[in-house]
Amino acid sequence: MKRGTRGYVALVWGLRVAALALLIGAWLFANGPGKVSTLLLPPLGKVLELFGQLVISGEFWGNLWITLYSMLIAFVSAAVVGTLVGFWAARGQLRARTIEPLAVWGYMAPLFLFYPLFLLWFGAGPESKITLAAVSTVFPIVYGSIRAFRSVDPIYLRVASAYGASRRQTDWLIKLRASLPMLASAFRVGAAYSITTVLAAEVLSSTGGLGYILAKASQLFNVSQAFAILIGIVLFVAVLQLALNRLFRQRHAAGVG
Amino acid sequence: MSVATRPTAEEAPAAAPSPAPRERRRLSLDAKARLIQVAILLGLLVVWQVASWLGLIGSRFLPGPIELVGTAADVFSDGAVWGAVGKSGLAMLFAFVIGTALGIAVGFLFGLVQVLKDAFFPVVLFFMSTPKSIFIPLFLLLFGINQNAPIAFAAFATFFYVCVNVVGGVGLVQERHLRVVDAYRGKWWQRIVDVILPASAPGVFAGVWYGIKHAVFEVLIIELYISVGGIGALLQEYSYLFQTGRVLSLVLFVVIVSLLLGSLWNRLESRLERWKPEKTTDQSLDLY
Amino acid sequence: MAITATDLGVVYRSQRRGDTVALQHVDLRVAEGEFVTLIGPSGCGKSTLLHALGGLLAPTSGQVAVDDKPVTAPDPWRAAFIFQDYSLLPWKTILDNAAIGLRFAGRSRAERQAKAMEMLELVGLANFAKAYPHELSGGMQQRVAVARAMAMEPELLLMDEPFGALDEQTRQKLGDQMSRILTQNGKGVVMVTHSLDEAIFWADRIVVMSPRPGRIIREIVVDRPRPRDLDFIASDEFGEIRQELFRLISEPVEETAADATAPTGAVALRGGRG
Repeated sequence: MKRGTRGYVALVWGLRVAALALLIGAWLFANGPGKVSTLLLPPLGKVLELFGQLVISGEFWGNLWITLYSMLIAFVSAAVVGTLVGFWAARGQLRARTIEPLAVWGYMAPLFLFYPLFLLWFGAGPESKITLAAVSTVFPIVYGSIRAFRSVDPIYLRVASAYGASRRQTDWLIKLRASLPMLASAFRVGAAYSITTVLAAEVLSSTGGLGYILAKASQLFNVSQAFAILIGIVLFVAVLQLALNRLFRQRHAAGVG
Repeated sequence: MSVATRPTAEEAPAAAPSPAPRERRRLSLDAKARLIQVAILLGLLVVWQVASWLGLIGSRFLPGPIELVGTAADVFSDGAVWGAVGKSGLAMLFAFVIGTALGIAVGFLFGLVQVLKDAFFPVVLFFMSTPKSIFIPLFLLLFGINQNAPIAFAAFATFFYVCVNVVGGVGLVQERHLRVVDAYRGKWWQRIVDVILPASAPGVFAGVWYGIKHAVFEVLIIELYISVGGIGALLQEYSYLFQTGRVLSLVLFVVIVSLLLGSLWNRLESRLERWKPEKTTDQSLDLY
Repeated sequence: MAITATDLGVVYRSQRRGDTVALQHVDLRVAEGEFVTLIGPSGCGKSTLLHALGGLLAPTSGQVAVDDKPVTAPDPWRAAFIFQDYSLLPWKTILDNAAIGLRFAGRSRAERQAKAMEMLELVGLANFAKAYPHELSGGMQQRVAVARAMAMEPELLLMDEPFGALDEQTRQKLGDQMSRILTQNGKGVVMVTHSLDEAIFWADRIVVMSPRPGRIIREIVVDRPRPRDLDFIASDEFGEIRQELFRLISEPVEETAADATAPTGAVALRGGRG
């Protein structure tokens, strides 16, 4: 069957529905005849019911807000600092060659492992999450922005100088606009990094946030609740990603002038 | 593949003019950059040590580098520490093998069977960029508080990165190379061995690298969460006892080892891909 | 061995863009040892026709036959392809690339390496046997592609704009070599080109195609023994054929058998088809 035909699309959806049905069927089977302990796999109905309750509960949204603002503060500060550093570093060959590898190392290194230290230094509240996420995110953004600013097509720069553009004009009108697509991409990655770090940190040790209520529920062996919260978190992340992808859309290289 | 004309043996390159005898030898840009990097790192170390001496930073808060070295020596001469490292290492190995094998298998499945890819790859992609740590409680529930949980969890996380990269690798396969196999009457398995496998190798390499990274990393994270032994447990213990120096020593150890593994892998990839005109700079940025 | 296309039609189907008729009612016969060039405006289906002749592509209607036996799959022993972008496998050495058809046919390592080396010597690249494609220039890679095809000792070579990606100088140099090789071996050739000069210089017969949907609108015979010197290009005959070709391609007109007039020394075999 050829791609793009209606029959093909039907097949794709058919496969998805079938897979979902299989999963749900397996879950229900495990609940019923399969006799899997509800401590392991809570009843599907109960989970859905609890999820419904969760969505209207203030507790869920309150904690969601904590996670969200932690992520936003971390990301925005990292983005601002990272872009400025990247812009400065991109101005010269030597600067770029010096700073870029440092950014790569910082990015490659599993900085999350410093979290226990951050907990010691900043406590279990949101501060430790925010600083950790900010520090982690700054590196990929520096790296991405250096590449973005250095990949401005020299043709644009030549045109600018041929038409007598001043340094400042060249910076703003041309370099910035031409580097926007790659910057957007770096921001997308950075934002994803931030939310991942914050959530992981919350799960490990926290006083609030979505990760916190998840960990709490599972530690109290409140399995159905934990599952329900998990669904909530997955949905939250999905919506956030959608929003971020739209915000940092993959535009075509912005035209100059 | 670029068709650009390269300096080849056919057109013998003219001999480079030798520098004038009086010219000073100038440092290459890379060398200068390296020097500055080293200088920055050294500078930071010095500032750190001085601040420590001046009592600006409490020893509890962050021990100075010299003190740190001493602590590290203590830590790594302790047999128990190496025991924990071994325990984590074993879990990482198992997680790597399972996650990577599954990731490669499913990755190729998706790459070769378009319908399956269209149906299910978006789900894989979504889960790849979802924080895996939110599933830690789930895995602990399912596998209990023993060595199986870290292995299963890390394998789970690893799987997604490997799969996505392998699918990317299969995407590198070019129709025109497959066409050569058809035109010269190759059999179906020759399509795989002679075109699909070598063409998708860069993606598979990247996948294996991320497999290593995440197997290591996710084991550590889950170990941080709950005491199942291993390096994570040590980190927890040291943290509770406010032994910052020890925590730092262990963490730096892991960081250095992972950076080393990274460059080793790069080296290996270069060797195995001599046929490429230039190394693929791996742009896929991964997440926790 | 003669290849015949009878009432050949090829339609590309797409959900989004609807059906594209690439070729329509094409009748073509390539006799043994004949050098035929296919020329026409962009998108006229000449590559499609070439692929169909070689069995790489199944026609939607009509058929391709070799000595009356229908062609259903590629057979490099019969007709070997040389593609425009050479399509060497980048991860194989030059020697392995040249030997690839033999490898697919299951020949032993010794046998195929010997044959491949022989072909590489023929095209003057024996020294590069252990190199990788990216180390070679475009012209050299194309020669490897030729060696690859020749290693199959086919009766017919199917060349898809073999000089298309090369610059003028390389093209001429390569052309000289190819001329030598092809005439020495007496092979039949079907060559797709968009260069008028190439079309005339090489061919025993030039097949001119219309824009999409592709049909054959004219066939022009070039009655000069091969291999030809470069001074053929300066001849009157060449100039007249060239003018005719240029006219045909830039203003594709419906030609009928009655209208077809022959430039001196050449005879138009067939007129346009409706």
